[in-house]
Amino acid sequence: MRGPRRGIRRLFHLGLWGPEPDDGVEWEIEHHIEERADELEAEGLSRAAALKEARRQFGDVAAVKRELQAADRRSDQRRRLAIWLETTRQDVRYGTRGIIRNASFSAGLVTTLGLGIGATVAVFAVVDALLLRPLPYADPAALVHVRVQQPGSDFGRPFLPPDVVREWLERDDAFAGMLPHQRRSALFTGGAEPQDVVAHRVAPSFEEVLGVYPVAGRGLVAEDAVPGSEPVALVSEPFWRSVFGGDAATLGRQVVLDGVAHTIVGVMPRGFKFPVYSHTDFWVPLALSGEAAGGNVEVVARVADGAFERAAARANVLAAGLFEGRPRLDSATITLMPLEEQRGGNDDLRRAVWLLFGAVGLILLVAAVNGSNLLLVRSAGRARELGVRRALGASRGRITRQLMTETLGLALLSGAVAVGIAWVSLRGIQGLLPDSLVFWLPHAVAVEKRALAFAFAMSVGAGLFLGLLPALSSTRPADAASRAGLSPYAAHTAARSRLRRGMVVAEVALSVILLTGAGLLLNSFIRLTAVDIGVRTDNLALLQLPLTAQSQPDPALRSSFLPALEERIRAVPGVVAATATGGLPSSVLAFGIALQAEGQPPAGGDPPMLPMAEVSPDFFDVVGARLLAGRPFRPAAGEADDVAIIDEDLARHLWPDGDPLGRRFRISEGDPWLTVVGVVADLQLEERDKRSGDFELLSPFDPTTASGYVTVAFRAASDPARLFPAVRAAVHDLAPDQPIREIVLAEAAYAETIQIPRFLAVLVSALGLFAVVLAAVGLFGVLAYEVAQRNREIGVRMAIGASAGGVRRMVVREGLILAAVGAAIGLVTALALSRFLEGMLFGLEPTDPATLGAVVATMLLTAAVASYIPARRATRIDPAEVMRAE
Amino acid sequence: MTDRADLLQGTLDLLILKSLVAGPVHGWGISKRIRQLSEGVLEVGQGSLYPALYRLADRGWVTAEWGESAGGRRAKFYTLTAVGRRRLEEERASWRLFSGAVEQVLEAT
Repeated sequence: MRGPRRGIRRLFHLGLWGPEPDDGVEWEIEHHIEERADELEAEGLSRAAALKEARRQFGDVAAVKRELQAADRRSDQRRRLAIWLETTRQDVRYGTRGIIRNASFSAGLVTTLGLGIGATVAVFAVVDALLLRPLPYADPAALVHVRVQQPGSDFGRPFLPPDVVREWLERDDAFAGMLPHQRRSALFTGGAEPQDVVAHRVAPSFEEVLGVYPVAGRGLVAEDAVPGSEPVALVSEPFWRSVFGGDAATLGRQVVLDGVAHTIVGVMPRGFKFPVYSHTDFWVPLALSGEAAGGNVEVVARVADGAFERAAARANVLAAGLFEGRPRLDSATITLMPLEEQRGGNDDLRRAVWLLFGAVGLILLVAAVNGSNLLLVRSAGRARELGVRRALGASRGRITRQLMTETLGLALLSGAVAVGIAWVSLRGIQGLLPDSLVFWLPHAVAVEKRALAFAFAMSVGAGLFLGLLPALSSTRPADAASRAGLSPYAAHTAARSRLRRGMVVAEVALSVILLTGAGLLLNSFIRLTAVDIGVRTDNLALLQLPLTAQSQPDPALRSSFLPALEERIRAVPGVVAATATGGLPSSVLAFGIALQAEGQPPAGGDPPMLPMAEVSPDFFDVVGARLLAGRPFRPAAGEADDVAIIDEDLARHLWPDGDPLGRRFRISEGDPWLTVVGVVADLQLEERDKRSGDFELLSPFDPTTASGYVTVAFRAASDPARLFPAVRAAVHDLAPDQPIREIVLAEAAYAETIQIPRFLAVLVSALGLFAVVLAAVGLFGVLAYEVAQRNREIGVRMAIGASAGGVRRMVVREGLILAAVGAAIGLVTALALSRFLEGMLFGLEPTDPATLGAVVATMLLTAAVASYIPARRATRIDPAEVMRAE
Repeated sequence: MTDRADLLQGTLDLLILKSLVAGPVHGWGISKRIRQLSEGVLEVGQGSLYPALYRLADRGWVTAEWGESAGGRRAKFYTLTAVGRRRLEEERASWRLFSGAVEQVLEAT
C-alpha cells in the first residue's frame, strides 16, 4: 500500500525495519502485483492495463490472502507460546534457585504449610468418605429405600412381608429394578474357630440393581434363588483376605454357614458394602417363597430417570392392591427414601466431622498467615535485589510473576509434604475414629483421588494467598528507589510493619478461637469420663455370645449352657465372680415410650428411648451396681415375669414424691404393668450426657431360656485381659460350635459412648496447641525482625542511659500488646461461634469462665516467652557498634 | 507459464532457499530470480510461493523483515538463517542423489 501512511513513516524515519503490520499480508501481495505490473508496463502496456493483467496473473488474491493470514496467526500463537514457555522456564529456574538458596527458610515454610494443608487433607478424607463421595454403587442418587408408613406415623418402617414382595416383583412397573434383601447373621464353621458372621440374603437382582459386580467369579443368578438349588455365596473382600488369605482357589470352595455347605462363587470388590451401613461377610441368595422365606424383607429400588414422584405414585397404586385386607398394612402407604438421605448417620456425627473440618480450616489459615508473614519478612530482606532488578528494567508484572512462581513452587512442595502428613495422620487416628463413625462410613477413609485433588487445590490456593501480598508490596513502584538502597527510611517500612503486626494479631486471634474450642471440648470430655455410670468397671470384662439354634443345636444342652458357662468361668483361676445377663450395656432399647405409673396419667416428658437389660440375681454384686432399696431378683424359677428394678432417675420420674417399691407402672399403653421390687443407684450405661434417656430398666434374666445376644460379665482379681484366652477356651470346651462375638474390658465397652467427645477433644486440642505454637513463632519472628530493624534506635536509647531491663520490658510489652489484642479479638469471635458447640458440651457452658481464662492465660504466657527471646537479643546491642556502622 | 504442478514436491523449498543464498530478497524477487536462473523454465506460482515462504519462516529457516525495494516500495525481505543454510545443504544433497538416480534409470537401455 503506497498511501500516505508510508510517507508519514518515512518522514519520521520509522520506515526501515518496522514491526510486522497487521495488514502485512496485503502489502506483500500488493507489492508483488506492482512489481509484475512494472514488468508488463516495460513490455508496452499502459499502467492501468498492466496492473489489471498482473492482478489476473496472480490469481485469486483473496484466497491467497486468507491462507497467508491464517498461517501468520498460527505461527504468531506458536511464537507467543514459546516465549511464555521460556519465561516460565526462567521463572521456575529462578524460583528453584531461590528455594534452594534459602533452604532453611524454605524448609520452615514448607513444614508449616505442609502441616496445615496435611491436617486439612486428612480431615477432608474423613468428611469426603462419610458425607460427600457418592455411595459405592452405579448412579447411587437413583437408589431408594422402599418404606411402609402407617397413617399418622412420622417414621416409615423398611419391612415388607416376603409374599407381598414376591407379588410386587411380578407386577412391578414403578422401578427400574428392585432388590429385596434380608439382614441375617449366621454361624460360620470350618475356620480356626466358630464365628458369628453376617450372611446377608439378597435377591439375584443384586448386582444389576446396584451396578456393582464381583471382582472374581460370578454374581448371583435367578436359578440360585430357586428352592432346592445348590446353596451358593458371595464373599466380601476383607473376609476373603483375612480368612481365606486372598487365595484365588477360594472360588468353588465350600463354606459352612448355619450348618449348610455353601459354594463360594464370587468375591465382591474391596470397599463394597451392602447394605451401605453394615459390615457384611457373605451375600447369599434370598428366596421369597418356600420355607426359606421367613421374616420380613427390606427393599432397595432403582428409580429410572430421576422420576421419584412418578415412581412413588406407581408404587402406591401397586401397594394399595397388595396391601388390601392385610392386618397392619391395610391403610399403609409407601414412601421412598433416597439412600443418600441417611448419609453421616446422626446429627452428632455429622456435626463432629464438620466441626473438625472447621478446626483444621482454622489451622490452615494460621499456617497460611504465618507463611505469608515469613515471606513478607524475607521479601524485605531481598528488597535491594528486587530494586536493582526493577532499575535494570524488569517490569513490575515480571517481578510479581517471578515471586509468584517461587511461592507457588513452595506451596506445591508443601502440598506434597501435606499428602505424606495426611497419610501418616490418617493411620495415626485410625484407632481414635469412633465406632459410630466407622459404622456410618460407606467408603474406606484414605488419601485417594479426591483427597489428592483437594490437596492440590489447597496448595495452589495457599500459594496464591501467600504470594500475592509480598509480591504486590515489594514491587510497589514508589518503593523501587528505596529498594535499591537509596532511601533506607522510606515510609513503606511503617506500612509493612503494620501489615506484619496485623498478621500476628490475626494468628493469635485464630489460635485463641481454636484453643477455646479445644479447651471446652477437653473440659467437657473430662467431665464425661468422671461421670459415675453406676457400675464399677475396674477389672470387669464382658463376654458377648450369640445363642442360636445353630450354635446350640441340642435344646436340652442349650438350657443348661449358660449356667454351666457361668460355673466354668468362675472356675478360671483369677476370676472373682461372673454373672450372665441379657445384654450389656443394654440389649434392648424401647422406642415410642409413654411411661405411666398406675393410677396416674402418663408422666410426659419422656426420653426418646428406654434402655433395658435382663439381669441375674447376682448382677448387682458382680458389676458393683448399688441397690438403694428393695431386693435383687430371685432366681428365675422363683421370680414373677412382671417385676422390675428401676434406677433412681426413673423412680423419681414416675413417683416424684413417694416410695416406688411395690408399685406398678408400664412403658406405654398396651404394655403389661410391671411391679417395682428394687431401686438401683443411677445407671448410665448407654449415654453419659443423658441426652437420649437417662432411665434404665432391669428385668429378671432366665439363663435357661435365653436366646440371641447374651453377655457374661466377670470380674478378675487383676488384669482381666490376661484371662481372655482361658475364658474363650471355657466356651469352646463347653460348646464347640458356639461363636464368641467379642470379649472386652467393661471400661472399653462403656467408653464407646464417649468416643465422639474423645475423638473431638483429642484432635481439636492437638490442633489448638499447634496453632498456639505457630502464633508464637509468628510473634517471635516479627519482634526479632523489628529489633533488628530498630537496633540503631535501641542503641541510642542504651547509649543515653536506658537500662537492659527497660529495653527488655519495651520489647516484651510490645509482644504482649499484640497478643492481647489478638486474644481479645479471638475471644469475642470464639464466643460468637460458640453456638456450633451447643449440644456437644457436657456439664459446662460455652462461656465457661475457667476455660476461657485458661485459654487466655496460655496464649499470653506463650506470647511472653516468644517475646522474651528477641527482647534479650535487643539488650545485647552494643551502642558503639551501631554508631560505627552508620 | 510452466505450471506449478510441474514442480516436484519438496523442490520448491529447495529453490526458495537457494535463491536466498546471495542475500535478502522479497517475494517478487524470489519468483523472478528462480525464473531467471532457470532461464524461464521454472515459474513459481504465487499461490504456492507465499504459503511456502510463510511455512519456511515458521520453521525458522528464513526470517522476514520489512524494508524498501529498489523501486522505493515497501516490501518484505526474506533472509536465509543459519538453520536454513544447513537445511539447504541437506536438500541439495538429497536432490542430487534423487536426480542422479532418476537420470541413471533413464539412461539405462
